[in-house]
Amino acid sequence: MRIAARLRALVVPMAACIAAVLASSMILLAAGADPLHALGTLVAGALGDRFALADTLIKTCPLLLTGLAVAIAFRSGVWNIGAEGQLLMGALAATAAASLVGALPAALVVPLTLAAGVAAGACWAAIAAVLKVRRNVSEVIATIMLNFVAARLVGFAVHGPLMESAARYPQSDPLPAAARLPATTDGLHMGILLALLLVPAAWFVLYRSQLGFRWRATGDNPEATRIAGLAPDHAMLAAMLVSGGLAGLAGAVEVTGLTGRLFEQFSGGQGYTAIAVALLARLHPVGVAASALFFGALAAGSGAMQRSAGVPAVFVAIVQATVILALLVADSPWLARARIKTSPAARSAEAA
Amino acid sequence: MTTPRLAVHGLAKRYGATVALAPLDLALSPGRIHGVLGENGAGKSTLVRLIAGVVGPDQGTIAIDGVTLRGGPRAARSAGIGVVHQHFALVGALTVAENLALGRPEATGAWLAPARLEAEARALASAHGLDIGDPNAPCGALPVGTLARVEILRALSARPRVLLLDEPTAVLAPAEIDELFASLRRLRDQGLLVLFVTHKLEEALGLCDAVSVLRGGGLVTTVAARATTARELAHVMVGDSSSVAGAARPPAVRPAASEPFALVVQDLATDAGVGRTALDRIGVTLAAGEICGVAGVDGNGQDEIASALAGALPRRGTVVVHGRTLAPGDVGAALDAGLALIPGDRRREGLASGLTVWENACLAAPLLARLTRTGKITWRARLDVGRARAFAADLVRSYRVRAPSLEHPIAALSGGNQQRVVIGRALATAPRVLVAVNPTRGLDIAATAHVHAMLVAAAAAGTAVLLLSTDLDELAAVSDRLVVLYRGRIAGPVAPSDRARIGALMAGLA
Amino acid sequence: MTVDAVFVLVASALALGTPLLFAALGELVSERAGVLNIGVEGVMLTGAFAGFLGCWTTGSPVVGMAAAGAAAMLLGLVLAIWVVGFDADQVVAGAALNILALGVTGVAYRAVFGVTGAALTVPTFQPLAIGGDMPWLAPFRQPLPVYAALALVPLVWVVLARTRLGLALRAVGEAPDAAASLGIRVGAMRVGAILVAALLAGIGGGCLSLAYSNTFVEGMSAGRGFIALAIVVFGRWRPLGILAGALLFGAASAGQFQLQAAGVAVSYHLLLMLPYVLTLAVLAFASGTATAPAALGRRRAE
Repeated sequence: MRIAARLRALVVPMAACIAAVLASSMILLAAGADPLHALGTLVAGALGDRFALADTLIKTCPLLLTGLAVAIAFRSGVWNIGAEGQLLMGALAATAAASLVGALPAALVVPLTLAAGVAAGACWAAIAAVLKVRRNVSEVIATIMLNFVAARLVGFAVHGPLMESAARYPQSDPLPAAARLPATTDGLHMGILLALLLVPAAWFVLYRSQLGFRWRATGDNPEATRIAGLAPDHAMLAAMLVSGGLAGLAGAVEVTGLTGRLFEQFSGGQGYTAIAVALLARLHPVGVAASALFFGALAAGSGAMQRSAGVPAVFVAIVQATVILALLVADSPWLARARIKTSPAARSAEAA
Repeated sequence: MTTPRLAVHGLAKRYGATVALAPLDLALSPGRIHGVLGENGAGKSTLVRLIAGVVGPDQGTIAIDGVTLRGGPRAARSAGIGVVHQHFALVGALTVAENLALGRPEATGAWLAPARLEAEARALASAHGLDIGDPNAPCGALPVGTLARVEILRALSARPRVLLLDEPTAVLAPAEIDELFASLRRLRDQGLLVLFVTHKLEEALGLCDAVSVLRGGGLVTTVAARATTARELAHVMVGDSSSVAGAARPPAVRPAASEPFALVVQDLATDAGVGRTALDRIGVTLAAGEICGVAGVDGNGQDEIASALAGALPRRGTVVVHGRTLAPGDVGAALDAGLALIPGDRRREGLASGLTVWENACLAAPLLARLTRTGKITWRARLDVGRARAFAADLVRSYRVRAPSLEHPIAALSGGNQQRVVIGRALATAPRVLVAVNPTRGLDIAATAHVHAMLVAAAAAGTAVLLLSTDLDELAAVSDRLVVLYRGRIAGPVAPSDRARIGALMAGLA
Repeated sequence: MTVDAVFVLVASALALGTPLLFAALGELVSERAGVLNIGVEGVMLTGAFAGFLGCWTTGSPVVGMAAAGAAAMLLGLVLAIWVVGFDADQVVAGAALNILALGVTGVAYRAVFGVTGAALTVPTFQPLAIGGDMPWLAPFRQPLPVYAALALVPLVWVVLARTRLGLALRAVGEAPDAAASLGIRVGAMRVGAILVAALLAGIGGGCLSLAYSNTFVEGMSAGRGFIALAIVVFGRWRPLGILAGALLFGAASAGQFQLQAAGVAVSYHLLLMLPYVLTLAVLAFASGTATAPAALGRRRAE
């Protein structure tokens, strides 16, 4: 039974991906494009050569971090739609911190810069968390609002206090070299390694720590968790802080590892894509690694697809959406009921 | 013979292996108030649901004036059945007038002018002599007594031929009950058939022309109200206690004199709320190793006592567990002091249904703390999964939980096996006090017997057990002594075998 | 501020507030039935695109608007099937809707119009010439959709507060089980509410490409759907409150252009932030979500 359950846990997301690719291809067909050609160029653009692979990994990195952030929040029963804003605040704080601490010994600059990003993301999430726990404000609305506030704050910063010294474009000065993450010539930066290391860490916290146990219990049934003496409110707060911290780290890693400076429209919506990443992963950290890679490859390949097949890169969004919709069908309560009724385990347990 | 207003023929319903209603026949003429009397689980609710069209029968028919009913609640209503549900189908955010309008689409048309709704509400209320206060007040802000009258008024507004009332007086004050009865009598005199479902003997006798008594899903007898007495009815209702084998219990083990009482509760009181009964100066004292039963019909404060003691509901008064005075509203303090809870609603308060069997077995702060190195739950503490699984395996073994594996979600287990996990978990903390609410509800006979054995064993090991139950057989089987809970107050003590007196106290008599 | 500046501010508050008003009124209907549609952003975007496409094809902004509504309802149908049919989580399904709309409009735009450098333009709704040349009426010479949106405010209020349909809808959003036991078809009510909400959000989107501007750009809804969500909360689930919120948000967006033009040294980024901060403050200090429909966002199975 355990093996069957594990298998099911793999089969459902895969089926959802296949269904999504098929459905998206139909939309391509309807739009007059050749789906096979388009998908071919997409795959080549994501995995075809060294540069493609590097690009895929670079695009995977922020999705992995924000995907973990969303997975932890959702697991704990907090609908954090705010990874986007937390990422932006992380990038903003990292940019500001880098210019402040850039003159310190090199060994301190990167950790301090990343820490600033984590702290900013956590604080940004904490606003929504406190509003939820103390004032009963829906975290869905609060985090969405905070996403916009964060986007405007970044806009303000790059037009104002953080604007480049040349004052020509709405962007920050390049980060001091000491604040940049080490990277290969392909652009593969240390942040990717860091993100990968956080996967087992997140798994450990969720499944091997008291905190993770409380998170999962709270996400499943907050009332029973309260009766059990495990303070679900505190667990939700902690989950939001960790979630925001991870998203903030994603922003800090992007700015120190990839872009080197802050500008308007800094995030291409990774914080929203993260929702698809986390759901496809069934909110499991190891799954997040796989699904972030999937969406990272889509993002990397879509550029090539746009160039050579003329299909706009935004096609990836259709795949993301259909993946989520397919997963929702698989999780539909009436499907679950039908499954419980027909599963042999349930029948034997019923007979007991 | 003329066609009866309501004819029930061979009506029966089973839920799984449980017979909720054995084939039942009734033929009632208009212009009468007919009582249906029975204790909890006697089949009253099933009969109500069948007649209201909420569930369909397995066999048998219901006919109004010779026309057989088919279909759901809408069909039942258009056939002339007005229902006052025990749990009101009122929308809290809507006003009284709006709620009344919801119940009678035919009468109001598409346009709703507040002035007209208000006037109609007032007219309805005065026509039936029911005080509903301000028709423009939102229902969510009204006391339950008023809500009950609104619900009754809504049923009446459809001009039913049969008015079915399911425990309508549970939340009404005596004066309100008198008023309700007066209007029901008036309706009867106008030719309505009133079906009055209750567990309260005195009301059944005082109001009804005739009373049918249900017990264990079957119709025991139908008698004219004038030809019987409360004592007789009580006896018929609760059955002959000698037919139930009471488990022989050894006398409770008394603890050493250092700490005479495991649980002392004084002047425990809570506020009423939506769906909540107010507790009024509850006082209970339990010695270690003692099982104190609390009998009572559902909704008289069982869940409130349990939640208040466990720290999950704000309260006043004193609660002392083994010499430690508990702060109100502090779940952690109650658990630390050694108070464990078997909640009445297992799915809502007891289990995280998406988590595995072993995880649910550990879902209690004291158990979780044991699985850390420091014995405390901190943010950084590890969860020793190996020990947790071993603990769960042990629990599953000793409480004979039938589970496919420890890794299965607890939702895959049957209700009885889920309950064994909940009870095993509560007992695993070796609590000084165990508060259990209807621990065998929904379980089959074997599982019930096993749960009873678990409770008795826990008491023998020195745990003081407060058993709040609606099942008199259960209470008789395991209790050392018994009190009765009625409308948030404790009455008694009473001998566990004295069914007649228990029935009287449960019904608010004596 | 000169009189002219006030006129311009009022005029642009109305113009910028109209798409928000449509979308927020629609969202109000849906939320009163207990369905939180965070996909309203995507529905608006779809409306903007379909409106543009319809108008570009036929040359008629009215046809364009009809296309906007129709396409939006198609997207609404997806949400209805998922939320009512599959009993899917509303937040997740709504998020998927946003992403879907972004992709579909992007791909479709490229498929129909190719990659062109020049911005394509379409004929738009023209301001109605009311009141001759009386100067103080100037801000109120607005295109038809603006008046339609304003007229919708009392209409929605009447339907919700004064009709049996509205009463049933509110009952469904507050206590679906109680409503069902009274014979109200909860699922059908919710499907209807979702479709109406989608229609209005689509028309709101259509305003973006057919009244407020005369072209379509990818992602042109630019977060207005989310603002509409905020306006519903801000307006405490009441049509009049929503009108006030839409005008306030419209004025805030309009004000930044004015301040810029006037050379005021307040960053317009900070000004644009105000509505969101304001919404958060209202949520935090106006006793939480006590006025939200009780069953909002809940799945039936729970």
